[in-house]
Amino acid sequence: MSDSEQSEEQNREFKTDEDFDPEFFRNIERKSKIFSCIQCGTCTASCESGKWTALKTRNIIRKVCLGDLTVLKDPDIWLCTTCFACWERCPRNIQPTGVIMELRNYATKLGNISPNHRAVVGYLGNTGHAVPINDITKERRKELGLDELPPTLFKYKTEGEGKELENFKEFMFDLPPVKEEKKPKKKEEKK
Amino acid sequence: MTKANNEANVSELETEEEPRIAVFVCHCGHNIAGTVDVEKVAESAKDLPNVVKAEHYMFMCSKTGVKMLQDSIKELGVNRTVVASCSKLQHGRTFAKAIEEVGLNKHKHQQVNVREFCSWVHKNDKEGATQKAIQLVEAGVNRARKLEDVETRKIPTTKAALVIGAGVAGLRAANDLAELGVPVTLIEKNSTIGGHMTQLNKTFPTLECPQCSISPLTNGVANHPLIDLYTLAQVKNVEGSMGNFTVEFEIKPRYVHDNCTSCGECSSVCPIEVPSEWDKGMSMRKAIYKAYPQAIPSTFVRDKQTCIGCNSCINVCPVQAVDFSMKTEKKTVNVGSIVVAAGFNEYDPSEIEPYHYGQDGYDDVITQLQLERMLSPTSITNSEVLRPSDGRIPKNIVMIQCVGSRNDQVGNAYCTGVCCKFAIKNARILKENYPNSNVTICYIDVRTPGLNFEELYKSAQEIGVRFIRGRPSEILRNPLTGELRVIVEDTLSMTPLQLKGDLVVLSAAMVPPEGIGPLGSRLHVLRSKEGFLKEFHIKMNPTLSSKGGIYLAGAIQGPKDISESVAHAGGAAALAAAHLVKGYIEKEMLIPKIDYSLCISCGLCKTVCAPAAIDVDQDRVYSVNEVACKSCGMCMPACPTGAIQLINFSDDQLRDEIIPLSGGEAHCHD
Repeated sequence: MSDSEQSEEQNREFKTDEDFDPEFFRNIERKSKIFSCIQCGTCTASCESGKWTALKTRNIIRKVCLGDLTVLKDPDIWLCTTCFACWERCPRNIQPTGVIMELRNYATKLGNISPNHRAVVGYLGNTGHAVPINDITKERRKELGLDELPPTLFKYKTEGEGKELENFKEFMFDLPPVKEEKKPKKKEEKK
Repeated sequence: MTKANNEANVSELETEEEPRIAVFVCHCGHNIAGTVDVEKVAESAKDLPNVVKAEHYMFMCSKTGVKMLQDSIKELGVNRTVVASCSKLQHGRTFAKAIEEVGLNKHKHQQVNVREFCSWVHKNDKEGATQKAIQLVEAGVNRARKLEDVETRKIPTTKAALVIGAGVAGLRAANDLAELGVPVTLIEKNSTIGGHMTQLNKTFPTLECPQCSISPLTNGVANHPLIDLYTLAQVKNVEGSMGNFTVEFEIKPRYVHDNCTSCGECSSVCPIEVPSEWDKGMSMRKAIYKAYPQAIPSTFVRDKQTCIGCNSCINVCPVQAVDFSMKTEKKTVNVGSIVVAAGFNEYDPSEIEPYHYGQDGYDDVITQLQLERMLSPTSITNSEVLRPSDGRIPKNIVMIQCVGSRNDQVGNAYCTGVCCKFAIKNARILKENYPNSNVTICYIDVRTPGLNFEELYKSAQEIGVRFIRGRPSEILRNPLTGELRVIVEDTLSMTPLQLKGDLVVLSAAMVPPEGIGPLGSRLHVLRSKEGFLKEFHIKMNPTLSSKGGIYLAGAIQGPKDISESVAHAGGAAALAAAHLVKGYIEKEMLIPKIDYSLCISCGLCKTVCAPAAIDVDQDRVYSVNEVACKSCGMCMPACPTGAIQLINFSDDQLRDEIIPLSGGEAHCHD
């Protein structure tokens, strides 16, 4: 098979109905609103993150309308800063920020949480707060006449029954493990 | 109705002959028969008391079906008919008319709706639907048994009409009515007639001059012997019903008498200048002024709100036409029909905050109507398009579509349907007048249905107008240079863009006119949820309002372009004239009767009667005004003793109808 023929075949890889699951997103909270999207692009044009990143809000909503489940693996959904500009301006009140939040919940269940978000969750689980306390912070707190450690779960991890942090971690942050991507079959065949 | 009359009618009832009922079940193709077992329904009806015939047929509304109905009357001596088919509104009249043709009173027909109430709503439950149909038919037969004859009476109408609003739709309606020989009172709340059409530069799709198109109509109406024109006038009170309305309206003083020669001396000496409403703020006018050179009436008008009373105009007027002592007048007219052509307002985009319309520093954000004013021959800029901020010719012009349309946030879910067309028209004109400028239209969808409009779109594309599919999220202003940028995503290439906008034109929606709330309530007509006046039926009667005798013309019923408004107004005029030219309306005397042996003269019926059709005399004897009664039946549940009974809707008849549906029990007034 020559190179040109191969690339031609790749071009022919259009999606078919089997690639979409229109029913999947029917169960999400904002179902009735999402499907009334007119793809006007106000969300993308409003997007503070999208000015600098690959996040195209309109495109994400489009994929949801089509039932394209690849959106759950899309790293772009983790680029939203939840500034709510799109939510405020959407002429159909689709609430794109809310949609992205729900997609993140679905993606997390599938193990597709972004590494950065996973790290933040890790901090919370291990220490009880999202921002780590470094020496400078401790110094400042001392100067202000406060305890070195703020009264978070971390401070009391050894008090009480001594299991609060562990319980907290177990109930709140039971994240599924990182999912290993299956390589596409077609590529394997070609090899 | 007098007491004696009531009693006579009651005695007539008692000598009623034995009921002989024929039942027909319609298949309506598969509409009914696909779900309901029509054969079974017809079979079960056969056993009901007084039923002499029960049949089913494919299409009862067909000629054969109607003949079956008529034959049963002729051959079997049937005196009441029941047809189980569609809604009463759809074919009830067809069957009533059919039995009338063979000599039966049309109120002896009982319609049973087994389509909307049965087969359409219970598609997945054939057995249940059939059972329900059987019960509905039994209820219908029970109701038919006691049906009485109802007389139809001719009520004379007042051969005159009132048209509210003198825009293109109102003018058309007034002209058409007058041409049919109906005297017309035309009232307009502004000082001039012609409406929005006079403000336009060109009309799409042929780029014609709107002044040239409308001036024969404005002149014709102003000089028509059968049309009385009142400007600065507003409706204050409406009474009566279809055929005979009494309308009171108020005419605000013009402060200039009709002998004004339109010389303009007064205006030239007037020291006050305010933004012109007619010119959408694109030029200034004096406190005594004429909106535009061709204005009809051409008499000047004084704006009392802004006038400081310096009397310069009085002193300078060569014919002493200016008179500050003029007072508000009230006038009352009797008319048979009312045509409402109150038009529309351009949506005020200042509500959409990210576009900053009307805010400081955003002078170059204007609306399409303002652009029309700049382009028009009567503009202050000599038809040049200049930036309001610095008076320069803009290089980059961006138009934003769907401003206030298709926007749930501002409560306008509808597509105005006209903006795409006028934006494309104006974009093309701009590109023709300024070939070096960049004209961009940011749209969500281009909607150009109908003959010649797609061609207009194509011609704009060919001449170089740039179309970007995306709704701008905001207009940003560089605080140092004052430059405007339009932020939009080109959704087709998935590229966020910042477009230079030396002039930004907002294609604002058409919204209901201000003051439509009070007008609607004075006319007692319903409004749609968008605020326009609601038509009787969106497909079959878009010109009749929710109230008989009041008709809608043009954009008051919903956004329309000029051709649609003119066609709509013509239809409204024809409907409004029909019963005036004929001279009478036929009213079915479906009115309540009062049983004076039960009446305790409490007056509750009078309290609830919306059309005020219940009269009371000195001896506290209540009676029904037959002409005013609207057969709504509100008086019946209000009556504590059951003395007042609407003919063919009496407690007795309704009880009989309810019994088969409720499983044998019915209580009313017990």
